[in-house]
Amino acid sequence: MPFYFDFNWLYFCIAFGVMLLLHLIMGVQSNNFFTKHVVVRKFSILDLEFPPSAAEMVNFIKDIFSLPAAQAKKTSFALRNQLLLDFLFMPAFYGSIFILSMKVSMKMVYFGHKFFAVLAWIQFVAWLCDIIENIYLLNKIRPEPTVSNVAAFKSYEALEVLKWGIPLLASVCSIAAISYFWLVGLYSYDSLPYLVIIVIEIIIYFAIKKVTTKSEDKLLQKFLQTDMENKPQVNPSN
Amino acid sequence: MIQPNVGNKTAGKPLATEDFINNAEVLKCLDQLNKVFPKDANPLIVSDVLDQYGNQYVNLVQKGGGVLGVALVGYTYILEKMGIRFLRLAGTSAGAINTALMTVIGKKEDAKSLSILKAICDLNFFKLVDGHPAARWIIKKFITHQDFTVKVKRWLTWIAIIAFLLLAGDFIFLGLEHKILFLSIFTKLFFVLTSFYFLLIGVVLFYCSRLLKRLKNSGYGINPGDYFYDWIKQQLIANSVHTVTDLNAKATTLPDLHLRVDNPEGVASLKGDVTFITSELVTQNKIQFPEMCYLFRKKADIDTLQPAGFIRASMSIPVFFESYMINDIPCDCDEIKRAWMDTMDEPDPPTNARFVDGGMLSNFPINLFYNPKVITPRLPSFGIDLDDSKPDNTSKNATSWDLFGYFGRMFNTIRYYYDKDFLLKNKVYEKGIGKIPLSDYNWLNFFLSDQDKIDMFIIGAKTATKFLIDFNWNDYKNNRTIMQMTLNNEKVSESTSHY
Repeated sequence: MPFYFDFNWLYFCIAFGVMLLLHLIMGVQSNNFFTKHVVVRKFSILDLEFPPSAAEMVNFIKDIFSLPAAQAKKTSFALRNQLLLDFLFMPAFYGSIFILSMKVSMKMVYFGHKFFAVLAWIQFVAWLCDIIENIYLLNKIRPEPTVSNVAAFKSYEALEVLKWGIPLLASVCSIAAISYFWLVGLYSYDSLPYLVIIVIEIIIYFAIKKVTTKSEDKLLQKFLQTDMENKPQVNPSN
Repeated sequence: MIQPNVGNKTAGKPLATEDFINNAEVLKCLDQLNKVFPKDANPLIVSDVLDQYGNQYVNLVQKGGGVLGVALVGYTYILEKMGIRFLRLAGTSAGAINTALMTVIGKKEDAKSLSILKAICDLNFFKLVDGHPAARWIIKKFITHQDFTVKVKRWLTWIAIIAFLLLAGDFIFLGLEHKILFLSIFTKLFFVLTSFYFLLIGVVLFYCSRLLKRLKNSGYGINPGDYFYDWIKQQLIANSVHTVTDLNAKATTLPDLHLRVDNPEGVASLKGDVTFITSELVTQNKIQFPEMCYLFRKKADIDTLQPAGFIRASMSIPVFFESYMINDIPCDCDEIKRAWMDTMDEPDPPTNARFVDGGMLSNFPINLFYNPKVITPRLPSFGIDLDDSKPDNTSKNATSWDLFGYFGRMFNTIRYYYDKDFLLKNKVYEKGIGKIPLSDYNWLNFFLSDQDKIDMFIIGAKTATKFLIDFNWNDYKNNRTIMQMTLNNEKVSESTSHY
């Protein structure tokens, strides 16, 4: 199997477009992410991905299920669906970065050539970490989750660092290199239409995002209206 | 015979009650008291209320002050060793914790300080700081390293210098590579390094923003306070206090009491109780738990409230701990509406109540024991004050304050004046107050060493010793009687002058 691939920018445009589309759908799903910690409030998937401790992760999940039954079901359903959809998002996301890094690698020489190729290939490590993380979370999201032992939780934290660190490093380094090529004029005219496509994709993404995004207050208000139909029980911890 | 520990606590061994009570300084305090007050010749007299075991009863209020609360135990230990017991108890924050434990442990006539010491020995104070690890780290650094702010400033300067150097490198090599071709390697390297550097800064900033969002979501409390809540709940349960009813029963059950000398008030009207002070932010009121439970639940449902929550509410240092909430208040119920109207003049009771540290309003609630109907007191009101004010003069120089100092002085003026006002108008109560000097300790230092805890206990014990030697029950009683008669006469003359 060859170590270097010379991709066409079209593949990047497709992967990048799919990634943005799936991200939009996941954003809509996250409108239903509510939990009850002291008060009912919105949360993001990052709260689950970066918990301070194993116990707090479990408390966080329990808080979701302390919502009135219908809302807890709605939130956990949305959460599970987002994690499942993430399996489709992963190839688009890591694939985009793989292509981007490989494109940069092919324009580089000597060390840079190898370095960016390695950055491209290690995206599969990050992908694997993401898969394991999602499976772990899918198993955790239930009314009475168990607290993971120290080793398991440390591994989970390491997975998160790899999952986020590898693609971030690769994308930032690649964008920096591409910026360099742009500034010194080391690019071909043929690639310019693809740049336009990418810019259009980004503009469309933000336009749709603006339409579909509601303020936290509005989402909470909507949630509380749903909540009225499911009167909460008196919290005995008070 | 018990051998006193002359030196410091043995390193490596877990802290034990013996490290406190067998300390040479503490034993010296007891020895001194026994010499000044020999039981046969000149027994210690601090009250006219006695039980069948010869214990004397006083009311006790304990001031709040974070970890300085350890000194409170040293103080009460000496009082208890001298045969003093507590009829009515009140406290705020750390004082509320000690008050709660003194209420629930054993019976009124039992000494409790040893059991409290045991609980303190078993408690890892650092676990009370149960917030995000990053927040814990920052708190620890700021509290234990006085020069941490300088360090942070130095780090920020270096971050800015490195960013400038990297950007300068980009600029210089990009310009040079047009003339010296091989420098393009360095240009690429600098571009990648610059991006990586800014990525790191971005990650740190993003992480900080997540922490701030977390702070906002938690109601601006860095630490959830769950560890403390579970700990105090366990302490209550271990002493058979599961409900508010159990707590009230513990506080009010008295042994057979009698008076040393006759008093027109008699002994039958004496009652025991316990009060924890907390500040309620929704209706902006001072709340006294458990007395005011009826504001939050119907009397029949009072046991749906958790007594551990009262102490948790009282010690919720704003920002340091999350607020304590009581949700689902039946605000539409007539009984609750009437209670709020009668007590707080509040026609619209809230659905949720949010509590922060009672020290915001009354950190030293000695006014609770003021009863204008009693002319000649049967027992004194003792108070334990934790004095952590620095003896330096810089804080008194009004022109030298920075912004934090200025706001700090304003905040402290507001929060201390409520209690200070009572003591200014009723100076005789000051005769019952022992002031523990703790200026060398930071009240938020949850990272205390075992030796620090022992030292604070000793300071508390020494202050109690000096207080008991100086205290004169007859003087106190006479002064209070005169004060009350003067106040009552003034009231009468005021009311007659109106007509």
